[in-house]
Amino acid sequence: MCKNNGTRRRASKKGVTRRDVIRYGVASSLGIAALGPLGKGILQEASGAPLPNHKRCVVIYCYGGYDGLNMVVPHGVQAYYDRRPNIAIDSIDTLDIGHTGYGLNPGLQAMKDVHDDPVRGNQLAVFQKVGYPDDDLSHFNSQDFYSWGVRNGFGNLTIPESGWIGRFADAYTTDSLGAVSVGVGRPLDMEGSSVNPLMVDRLTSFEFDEDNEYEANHQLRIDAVQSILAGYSGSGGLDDGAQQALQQAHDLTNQIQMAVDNYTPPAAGQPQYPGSEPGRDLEDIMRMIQAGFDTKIFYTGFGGWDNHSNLINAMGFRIGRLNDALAAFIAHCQALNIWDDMLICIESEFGRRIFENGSFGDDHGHGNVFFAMGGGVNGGYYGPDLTTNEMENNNWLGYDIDFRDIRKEMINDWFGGDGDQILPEPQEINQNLGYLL
Amino acid sequence: MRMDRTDRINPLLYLPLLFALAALPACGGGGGGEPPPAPEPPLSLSYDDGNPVYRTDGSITPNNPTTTGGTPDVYEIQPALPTGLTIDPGTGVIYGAPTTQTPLASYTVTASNVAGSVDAQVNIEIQWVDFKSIAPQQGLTDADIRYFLERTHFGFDQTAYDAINGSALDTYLDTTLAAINDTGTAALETAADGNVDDLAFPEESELAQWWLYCVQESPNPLQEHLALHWHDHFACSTDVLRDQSHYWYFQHMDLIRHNAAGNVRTIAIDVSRDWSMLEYLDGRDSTKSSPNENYGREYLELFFLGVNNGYDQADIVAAAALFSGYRRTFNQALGQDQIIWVPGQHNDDDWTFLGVDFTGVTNPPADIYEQIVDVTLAHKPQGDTIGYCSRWIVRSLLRRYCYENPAQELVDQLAEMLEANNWELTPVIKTMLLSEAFYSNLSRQGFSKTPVEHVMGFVRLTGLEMPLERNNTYGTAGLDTLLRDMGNRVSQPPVVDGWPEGESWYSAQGMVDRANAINELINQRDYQTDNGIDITGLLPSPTATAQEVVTAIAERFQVQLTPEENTTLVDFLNTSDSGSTTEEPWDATNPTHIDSRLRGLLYIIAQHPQHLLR
Repeated sequence: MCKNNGTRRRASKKGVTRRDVIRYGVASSLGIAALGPLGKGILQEASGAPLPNHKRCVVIYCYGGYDGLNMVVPHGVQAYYDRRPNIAIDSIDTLDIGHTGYGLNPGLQAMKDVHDDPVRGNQLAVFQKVGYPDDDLSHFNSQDFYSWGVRNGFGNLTIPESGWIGRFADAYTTDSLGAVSVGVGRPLDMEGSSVNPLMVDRLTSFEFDEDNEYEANHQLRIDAVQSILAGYSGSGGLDDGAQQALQQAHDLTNQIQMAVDNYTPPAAGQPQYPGSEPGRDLEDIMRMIQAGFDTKIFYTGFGGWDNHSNLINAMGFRIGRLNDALAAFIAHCQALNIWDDMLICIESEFGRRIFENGSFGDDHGHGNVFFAMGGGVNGGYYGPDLTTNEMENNNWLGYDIDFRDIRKEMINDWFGGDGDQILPEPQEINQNLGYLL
Repeated sequence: MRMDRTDRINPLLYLPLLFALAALPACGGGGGGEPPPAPEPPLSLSYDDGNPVYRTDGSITPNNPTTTGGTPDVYEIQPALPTGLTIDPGTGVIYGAPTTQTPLASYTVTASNVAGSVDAQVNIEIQWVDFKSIAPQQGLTDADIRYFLERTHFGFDQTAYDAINGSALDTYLDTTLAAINDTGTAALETAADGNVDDLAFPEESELAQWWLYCVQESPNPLQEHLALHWHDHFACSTDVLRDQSHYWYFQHMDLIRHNAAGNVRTIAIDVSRDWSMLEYLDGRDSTKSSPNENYGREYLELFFLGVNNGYDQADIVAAAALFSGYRRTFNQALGQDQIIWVPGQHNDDDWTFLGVDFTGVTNPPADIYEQIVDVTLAHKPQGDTIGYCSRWIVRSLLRRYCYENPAQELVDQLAEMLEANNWELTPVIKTMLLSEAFYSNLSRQGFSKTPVEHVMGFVRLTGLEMPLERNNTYGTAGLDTLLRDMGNRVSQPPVVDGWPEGESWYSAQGMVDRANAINELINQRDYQTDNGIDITGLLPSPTATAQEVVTAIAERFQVQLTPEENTTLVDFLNTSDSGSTTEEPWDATNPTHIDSRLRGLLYIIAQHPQHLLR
């Protein structure tokens, strides 16, 4: 019987090597044993990551293009009501965020609580009219621009076609746990990275099931698969990608299951994670944080925001899911004293029309509202006030904040990196927002 | 003759003169005899694509320069471009069809006029791809037939294999494609209907299982594969349908499955007024006063023309208005939803759609839908003989069955054929599947299998079935549930552009999920015993040796084993089931060896990287 001892593992041009995983696995278990649930500190040194802190960012992407005008309601602009007779939100229902004429959607209480925090102060940043040059109302184009961090193609740039998190991972992380996506399949944002970021859907299901009748045979099967993977020299084509994904799956199952087994949920009486998609995603992220994974960017998200019809109910349902998941995650971070190192960013590919359509919904637009919150956030309203003129006469909002300035500031000021390196495309609008303390 | 660097006039030295000229009073009209103003030198030069990688299988997208400053008179390049590529000396555009493999090299373009010049680097690589046409591939081999089945039939299929060897692939395709129609799989559909409790009120899961049953049991796997292709292309999900609307989806599945090799014009008309689609993309909410753009946009962007391909926002608005008028209504007597045409909700204003005026159209909806589709099909780039739509449709097929970025020549040949055949897909599909292009090395690089292709392929390859539905007496999650959890539930594409493509399916999580789904199929021994499913038929002979079994299974799974892999698998078959590593030689007549080791071998080989490709 040929038993795989790992010595035939080819030196993969992508992906972690077995040696890295063993080293990392040892560090991970040490971290948990020595430092308790958070395991903070040890991993950073062990994995030799170049960034001088343990800060983390969670990006929550809302697929479909949420209606920013109903997320942050411009109730001070009468045109908002004139053009949305059926889908506007009454000003009295909105949640005050200390900016005259604007209020949060009443379903976003978790954000309101971050805004009102009596101890920490306002740690909610609201960005108005976020977008990119030359609006494109296609979901798929817009999502690509956001995923790439590039508006006009890679032709004149010195970077290969790749996602922005993929480039970030290559620059600032050392292994496949440096940036992780949760519950969103394989997002374009992570493509093209040579450190091969982990993309996981559900941690609890991340292990190889056994043969019920012949349990002892299971290890033999797994050994044989791993032997084939270790010795596999691909054609340079798609089978290489398959081999890497398979190898990563076999390498990481133990670590992931350790994170599942050692997880401590929120205490009784604290907000609990809902069973919704974002609830489970954020809880999985918390499992990995508690296990001491040295992950800098967690990327997650959920869909259903393309509300061409019945917007109030359909969007309200998603807002409820987003809010309840955020409430649990924020409270959990604060209870574990990791809120100061947490930055949550919320994005969506475009805002919608200023006016409603005939289906009590609205169609695609451009400029949208983004959010950031966390222990390092300088809370407030960023960007211009909406004018009566633009709200009356335009079909949709333009943009005043290039989305990349939000990300660049995260890369520069939160992670101490170089945002221009990760997002090198020249912009029409450049600004230093100053939303991070 | 190319200027030497020293011949050029330094633009900075020239600036004072420019200022001086600018300061001169404007000349009055007709002041003949004065010298024309000296031009400004070009100040910067860049190309659309500074680092292009081209292939030898077709014409390149012309690479256009952008300059600032004065207009250059002449463009020159050093060293000479690879064979087949040309730079237009007047415009600087690089164009042509490269014919020779050329390693990455840097080329310097110099744009100049009398006032000066400027340089830009373009780094070009030419990859060798033998351009293959739609001409039929000659002398198909056994390996070619197996490749054809792997690509189009969910893997090796004994019945199809025997039929092809009995006649010829050409004849087989004629028969198979002709059987894709309204009645070709009637018996299969009746059997699938039998799994649904109430055909008037099917559940979401029953619809998914209905389709999955067809994929699993179909006598015409090519039809099912093509249907799943169009399901991905014309994505429409049950998850927006109300309980009382679910039954609509049978009509949708018929539309996609029965027309999988049908007529594009018919498909375009019927997809646009398909009840499920009217719900999915809000067509039934599009009204006279407030057209909803959702369907109009995707009709153009995803379904028939391609993103930003020959239309603009005004066309989307026009399409939305022209398509308006269908509404959903609840039929009290039946307790079901229906879609009805409400003339008063149709927007009959004058519209211009794709350059054609729509005024005074009578007899909606039939005529209007036909006219919109006919205008769409006829829409062509200026001065072109081939339309946007035919190119988009054949490109979609080529990207599923040949390779990722099909050469323009290949697209054009098939698109021309589609239009010449009155938009019938059958001759196009047949030609493609017999073509040099389909059997080229480029096409053989493969595609990543979707979970449906991988898992349903495993079912069809091995016969190891399991219950489709979640609530079954065998206590398994059900095959539909497994595929749903992998993000590949048939009948529920995640978004309107369908499922992810290519390497998007290769994630660590996805690999764990696939292995576990295969494991579930292997674990359904009770179900399989009760249903007479026996895997000894996979053995090449009743007394096959371990080596013979490994060879046969590898061939079935389209995997080329290295000597080391072969040894690993033979060793696996020869090792005790108890987990001890002592040798206990394989015995094909030992039921325990079949039940444990042969199933184990299937599990292993299903995770071979080559088997992840089709």
